[in-house]
Amino acid sequence: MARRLTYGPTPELLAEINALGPAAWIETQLTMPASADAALDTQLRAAYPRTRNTALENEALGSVWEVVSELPATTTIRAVCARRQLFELTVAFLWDRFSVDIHHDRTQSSSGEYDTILRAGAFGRYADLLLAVARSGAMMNYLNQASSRADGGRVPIETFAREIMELHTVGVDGGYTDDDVVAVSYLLSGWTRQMVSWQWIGPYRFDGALHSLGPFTDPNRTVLGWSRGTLTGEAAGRSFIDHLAHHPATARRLAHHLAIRFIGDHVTANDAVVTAAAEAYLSADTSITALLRSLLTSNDFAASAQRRIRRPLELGAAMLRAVAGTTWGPADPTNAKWSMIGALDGLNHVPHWWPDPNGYPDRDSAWVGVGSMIGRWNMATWISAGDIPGFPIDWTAIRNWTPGTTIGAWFAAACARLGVTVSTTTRDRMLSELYRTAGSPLTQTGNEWAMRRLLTQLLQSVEFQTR
Amino acid sequence: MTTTSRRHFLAGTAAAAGATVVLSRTGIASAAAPNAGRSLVVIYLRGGADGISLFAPLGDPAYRTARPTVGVQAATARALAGPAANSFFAFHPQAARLSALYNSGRMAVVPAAGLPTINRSHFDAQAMMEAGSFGQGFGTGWAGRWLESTSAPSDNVLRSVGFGNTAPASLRGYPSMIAYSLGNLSLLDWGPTRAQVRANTADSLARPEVHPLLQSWVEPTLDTVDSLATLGSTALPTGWPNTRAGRGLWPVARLIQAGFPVEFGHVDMDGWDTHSGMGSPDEPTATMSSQVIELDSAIGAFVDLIGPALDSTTIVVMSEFGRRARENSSGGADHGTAFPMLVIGGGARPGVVGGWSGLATNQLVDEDLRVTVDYRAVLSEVLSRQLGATSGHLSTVFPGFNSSPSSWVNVCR
Repeated sequence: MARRLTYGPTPELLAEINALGPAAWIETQLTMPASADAALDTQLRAAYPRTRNTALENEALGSVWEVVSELPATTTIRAVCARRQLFELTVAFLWDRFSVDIHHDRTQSSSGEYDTILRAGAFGRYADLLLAVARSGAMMNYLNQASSRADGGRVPIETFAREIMELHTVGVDGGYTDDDVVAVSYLLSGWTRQMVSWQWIGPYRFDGALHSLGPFTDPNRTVLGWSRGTLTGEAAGRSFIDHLAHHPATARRLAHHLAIRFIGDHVTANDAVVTAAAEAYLSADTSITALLRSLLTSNDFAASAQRRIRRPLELGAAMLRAVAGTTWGPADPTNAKWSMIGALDGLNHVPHWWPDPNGYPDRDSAWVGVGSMIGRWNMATWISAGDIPGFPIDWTAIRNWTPGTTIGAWFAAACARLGVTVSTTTRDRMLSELYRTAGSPLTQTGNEWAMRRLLTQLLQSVEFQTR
Repeated sequence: MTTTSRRHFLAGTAAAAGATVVLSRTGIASAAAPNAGRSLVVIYLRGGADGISLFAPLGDPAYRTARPTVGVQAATARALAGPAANSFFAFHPQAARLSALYNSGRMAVVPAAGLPTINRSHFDAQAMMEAGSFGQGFGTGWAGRWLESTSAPSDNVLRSVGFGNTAPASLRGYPSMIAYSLGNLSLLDWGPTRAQVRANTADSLARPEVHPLLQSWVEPTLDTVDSLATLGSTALPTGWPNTRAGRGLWPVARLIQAGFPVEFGHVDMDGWDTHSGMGSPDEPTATMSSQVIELDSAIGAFVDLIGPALDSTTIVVMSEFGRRARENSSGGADHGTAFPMLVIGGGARPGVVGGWSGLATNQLVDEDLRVTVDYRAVLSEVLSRQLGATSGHLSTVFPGFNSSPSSWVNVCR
């Protein structure tokens, strides 16, 4: 369970789970207040200010493009260090669901406030989150919603209208047509941001002068079972977005995708565990935590350990948690961020760098291959070298993983800690390559290089790459 | 030690989940391939490329009306000369290498290819197109089915390669080698050696319950690393375009040039979703011009490097859809339907083929240029005439589609 609901087990975490029992531990994760990670927030805000600033603050601060590398760094550090581990995994899921290209010059400055929006909504009502995303500077600029207008016979831009249905809610088979997409683009016309220095980066606003109901001028025009009735203007659009969040197809699709994430990609949309989670979501007024609680306390979840491959961020974070611990710093923020990005870029999984609105793929088959296998093995070499700024490796602490006095005892403790099984034959061969046997004494001096080489090889194992 | 063939593992799981089929696999020497040493390289323009900017129908009287501010101008457009001279169409002003390839008789253009139905969703259109099966056997891709239907146990992992993000959906059904760059295909020299990694993984390979899919890649990966170690430096050479398209095409070109048995290469190029601000075609730094230059220079570098191997290589450039005929109020164009497919190589039959129904309002379908050729007809012909596909293969690759020569438009010799 700890492999799936966190970025990697630590002895402290396992003790917590053992003390509370799985269900109670999940509950503490779902209800832990944000203040649990307040110190980490403060530390990261100081190191990477653009990740918490609003777009306007970032423009005033300057060097806006720095946020493109700052944000992946904070996400990686949070993955390793945050106490609210399930929260971090949920935020990562939401970034894939509501993916924006933060490299884009229109979205860059807003990407910090966008992260804030997703974090604020991750354990709340999906309906609230959907509306917040629809009005966010990052999404509105990325999908051209901010510049869409329907005044003077203009045809509004349909991109966001399409993606809010196809990707964010009911899905492409959810029951709408191409004509419906056009109709919804009219419904959302006039949803824009205040323009500052020729960019739509000011606060959200509805501009009635740019709005036209288009096909919805007919109050009986229906999309996905919704019609506007007597509502007009912004209220009509809000009502439609709320309808989308409460649509059964949205509930099932969200439940299915979270089941794939936490249980396995063998789960299908019609499995009972998905149906139950979708019902929990709908009966709790689109509560994301209700959905998660239903999934994570299911028998399907309990029976599906290590069915998934750790994606590169998950693998890197698990390695760091295993060998470098769960605190970060002190470190030069610039060196640190590029070091973390460098480790993930070759594996195509730098957080927030997916260029399309559909987010990083979450199927195991998308993450296997010759290139990714080599990258995973190299990541073990890279991380156990201890060169990532802020994540130094304390070899004295690692030596003390066992009270035993032989390298054989230490090796057994390391295998248990990393969740890796190694046969005696393989162990003895690894040790002999380091001019040792299982009975060799484990003194602190002179054994660091041997422990490092052994840890690298354990982190490279196929088992460690699963969750 | 026995090894698990990735290919047959995947075939095995399709039949019975969890059943591993253990077979031997061979090293780099490929068995007699059905393609007779030929290569197909697909360059996929993600986002919906604006075809009438890249390949402009200047002879269409409605073009100027549809594209008053972002249209290609006759004065600077690159005219189509050579064995298949054509005065109706012209390349974008920035497409120097593409127009030279056309003019030298090594390119066919299908100006209005596309899906058989209008679908303006990027993901839906890409999914349908890459599946190529329209509801029949969704889950595998057309290229994956081609490769699987012509595969042998001795297939080398480099038979099908892709450089870029993750594996494209078209390759689903056949385990292709996907990487970011060739440089990512070697172990760090200060870490455990290939021999050590190989020996260490024996424990988990002996335990098939430990994630079989992940396990199935261990041996092929190590074999590939061994083979590629013979290539020498894999860094991007000086002068090679350091762009997404360039970085994606470089390793494919290098492998083909070095004689590795690459049969299918896939490279993505994104950034084509130009809803706004396409800019003037005459301005090299404008958004659309930059896209065209990136594509054009990468293909130019590719052709230069592989040299005579272009005779046995076919490059197909395609996108999920073209864009709306009329530009929008933001100086861009929204999602449309038809797009030009380019077929480049020694086997291409030079010319502009497949028909053109026009851009006048009454000639459009739902504001879009009408598709005159199903993209599957073009790919069927390339697979058949260049890679030796039989009608039996094609019925697997594009089920439910008439892939017989009667649907072809003569893009190949």
